[in-house]
Parts: sequence; C-alpha cells; structure tokens
Amino acid sequence: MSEIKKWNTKSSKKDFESIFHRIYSPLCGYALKILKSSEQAEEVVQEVFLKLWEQKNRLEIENIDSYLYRSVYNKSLHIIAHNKVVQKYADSYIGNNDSLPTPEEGIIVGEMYAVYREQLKKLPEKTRNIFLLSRNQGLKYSEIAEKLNISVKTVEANMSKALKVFRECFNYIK
Amino acid sequence: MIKDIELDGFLDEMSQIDKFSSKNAFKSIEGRMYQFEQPVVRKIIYIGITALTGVAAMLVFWFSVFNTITNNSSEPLLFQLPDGSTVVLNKGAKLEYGNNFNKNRTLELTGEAYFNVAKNESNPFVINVGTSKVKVLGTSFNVRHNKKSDDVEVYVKSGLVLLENSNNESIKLSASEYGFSNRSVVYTENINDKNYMAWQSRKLVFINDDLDYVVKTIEKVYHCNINLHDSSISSLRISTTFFNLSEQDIIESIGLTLNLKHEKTDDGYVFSMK
Repeated sequence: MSEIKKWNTKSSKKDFESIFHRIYSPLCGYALKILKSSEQAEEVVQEVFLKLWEQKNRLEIENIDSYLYRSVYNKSLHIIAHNKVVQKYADSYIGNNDSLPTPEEGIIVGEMYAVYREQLKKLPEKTRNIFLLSRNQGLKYSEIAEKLNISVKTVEANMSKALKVFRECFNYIK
Repeated sequence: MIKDIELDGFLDEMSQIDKFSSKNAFKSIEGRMYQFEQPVVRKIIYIGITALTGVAAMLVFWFSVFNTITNNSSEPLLFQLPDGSTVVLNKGAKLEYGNNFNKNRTLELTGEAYFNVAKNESNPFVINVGTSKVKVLGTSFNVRHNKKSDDVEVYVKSGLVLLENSNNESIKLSASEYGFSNRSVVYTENINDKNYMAWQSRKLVFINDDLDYVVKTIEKVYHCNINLHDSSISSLRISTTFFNLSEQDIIESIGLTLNLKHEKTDDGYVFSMK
C-alpha cells in the first residue's frame, strides 16, 4: 500500500481516513510531548484533522505530514499560552519555545514509529506479546511468566530476541 | 552502535505513541465530519426525495433502536436474545442490541456476562466490548470487561472464539482457554481460579484453600463485603463445595466448620475468633 502524502481538492474521505490511521497515534505522541496531557493531545490532533476536513475543497498540500505536524505544533502552543495563566508548570515554557520538539523532529519520530510497528508485526506472536506486556503494560518478567504459564527464562529469551530486532532496526534508521 | 539507554528511550517513546488508538478516535470524529459535507442534491430533486427519505429514516430508526438490558441486582440475570442465544448478566452488566438482531447479531457489552450462543455458521455473533471485539460462531463463553483499564478477559467453555483488539490483532481461543485483550495487546492467559465461573454457576469449590481466598471468592460471587477481624484466621484451610446456597447459609457453614464467630454488619459480614 502506497502512503498518501499529498492532499488536494480531489482527495476523498477514504484518503482522509487512511492518512488519519497512519499518522494519528504518532501525532498524539508528538502533541503529548508539548502539552503533557494525553487528553489535550488527542483533542488537539482531532481538531486539526477536523479543520483539514472542513477546508478539504480549498486545500492543496504538497506534504500532508509536514502540514499536520506544523498545525499540531501551532495549536499546542496556542493552548499552552492559554494554560499558562492557570498552570504552574507552564512557567518553564514562557519565552522558551526552544526546548519544545519541532514539527520536523515530530515527523522523524513518526517515521520511526511506522518502522517500529512494521517490525512489531513481523515478530512471532509469542515474542510480540511478551514484548508488549513488558513494554506497554509495564509487567515484570515474573508476572509475564505467570500470566502466560511459561518460565522466566523463556520470557528473557524472547525479550532479548525482540530487543535485538529493535536494536538493529534503530541502528539502521540512525 | 546505539547504546542500551538510547534504545530504551526509543522504545519508551514508541509505547507512549501506542497508547493512542486511531480507530476509536476516528469513530469519535466521524460524526463531526458530516457537518462539513456539501449538499450535492439540487433543490427540486431534494423536495421530491424528502418524502422517501422520511420513510427510509423511520425504517433506519426502527432497525437501529437499541434494546438495553441492565442487571442492577446482585443475583445473575438470565436473558434470552431474539436468535435463541442465552446470556447471563453479572451484577452491573449492561447489554445493548438492535431490533434487527436476527439479521445482524452484534451487541455491546459492559461488565461481565456468560453467553451460550445459538449456532448459525452464516451469521457470526459479535460482541463489542470496550475497544475489543469477540467473534463467535456457536459456543459458550464468559466475557469480563474492566471499564477503567479497558481490559477484556474471555473464558471459553466450549467451541471456538475469536478475540480481536483495536489494532486488528486477534487470537483464537478454544475450549477451557482464557484470553486477554485491551488497546495494545491480545494473548492467551493462564488463570488458575477454579471458581472463575462461580458467579454464574453458583457452585463454589474449595479444596484445602485458605480462608482469605474463600472469603474473596464469596465476595466476588455474592457482591458483598466480608471482613476478617483477626488476621491470624486468614490462613485457616477449608475443603468443601457449596451449590446454590444463599450467602448467609455459606457464612454460617464456614463459621461452624472453622469454629469462628460471625456477625452481620451494615454492608456484609465479619468473622472473628470465638
């Protein structure tokens, strides 16, 4: 499946949906780094997508990824400015946008995420589950072993197998 | 070569991103997208088809009307669906299905329920639960959903069940297997609780189990609170079977067997040493 990177007046709802599913999660991850709130991150990303849909008949975009990351960045900054008044931690942001991840950095992480998901799918089911239980669910090796009725040794072996794959893939991207 | 600490940071970032599900998000914005659709139908045709649309809308409305069954009592509730399948709802469980259920065997579940699905190979039985999906052809199984964590646990008593999460990853579960699913994982699980289905069967089996486990099981099955006044009694062991008894009978029986004093409180019972 070829990725859709352009947007023009002929773009369909199907194109919209495929872009959405490809980039929604990494965009939220990016907004989260700026906003420090998952809820606000999802809100911003959804607003940006709705805006794109609203203006779909007027927009000609050469690189949709760059447009979306830039929009999320701007909208997030806007929200920070708004939050600033009420939230203490925002103090560190005042006049200091240098420390925030730029849209370009966001795109790179998003591309890495696509490679990561692809690698994840290629892992054997057992290895993938063990890896996700450890990484995404934060379970200890002993807890995983008990849950899946396998030995801790097997968990370790599968984890190092998965980590090896990701180390290689990360080396390659770098 | 990259350093382990970099790899760790990279993987942390990836799992952070994994927490956002585009599938659910799309559902939530799809409804809001229609307001920006441009009317393509010209006015005259529009008026002409208004009457037709009205009828169609009424039909659509009728078929999409949802029946809702909720169990607010602490007794399990047995219910029969239009296709002949039976459901037992645990306390607090809620089931929703459309009026066209015989054509489209899809339903929404919150909480825990036990299903015995009428066999119909050509019409799959689908349960939407949280962000996960359980697909069946004809079998009996238990679904337990934790609303807070969106964790779904499925126990299959007979037949074959497909459990799918929002990433379209799925596993097949056969008889006496447990499956676990949420936003990011789906796998077969090992659960060693012989009383897992007791909430529905009303049969409690204890084989040299300590009072702590016994009490926790009764609390789960009967939705009550039981406290142990002296912590030393929590390791007392008991072997027995209770079938279709009231919680009061069970409490009395345990008290007699272990020679403990039991009292009724506002929200349950207390065991203490005599």
